Amino acid sequence: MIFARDLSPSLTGLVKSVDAATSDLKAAKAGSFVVMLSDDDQLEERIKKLDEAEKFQKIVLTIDNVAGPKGFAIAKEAEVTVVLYRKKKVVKTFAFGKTGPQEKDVQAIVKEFRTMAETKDEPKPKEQDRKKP
Amino acid sequence: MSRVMLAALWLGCVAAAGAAEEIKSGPEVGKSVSAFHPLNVTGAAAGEKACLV
Repeated sequence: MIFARDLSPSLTGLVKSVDAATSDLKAAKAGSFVVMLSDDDQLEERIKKLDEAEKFQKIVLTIDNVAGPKGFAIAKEAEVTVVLYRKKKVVKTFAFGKTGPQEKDVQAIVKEFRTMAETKDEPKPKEQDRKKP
Repeated sequence: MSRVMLAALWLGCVAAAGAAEEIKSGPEVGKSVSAFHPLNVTGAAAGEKACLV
């Protein structure tokens, strides 16, 4: 999930790359979404126009309050915060200030996303392998 | 070393320290992510407040 404060060009670049990766990772059941932390009345319309222009395939765009959801500790000075999680546990986070994520940051995020999504779970032990008393 | 050079060196160090400062944001690694319900603008639940976690 990506928390952001404004629809900047650097955010758009990140969203496009993550959307493309999410489409590739369909078999891994990966998902992605953006949470715009804003009270701008015009933002919903701006998001719809961006979606029409970019034609995002998988990523979902949402809006929440400026402070962000409770318990997520989104810093006020962070323009973009990326939270990678698997089975509802945080695996890695990235945070960016005013300049937002640059190309090398986007590549690093997508790489981590792919690695995390493609990691296979350890198989559970079979019943007959357990020792009986 | 002249005063000007010392000042320039000091400014360079301060600038480098500022650039290297990392922003900490988001939950800690290993922590559970909890449900929340943002307004979905796009996607299957467009127009509704729905949890995507």
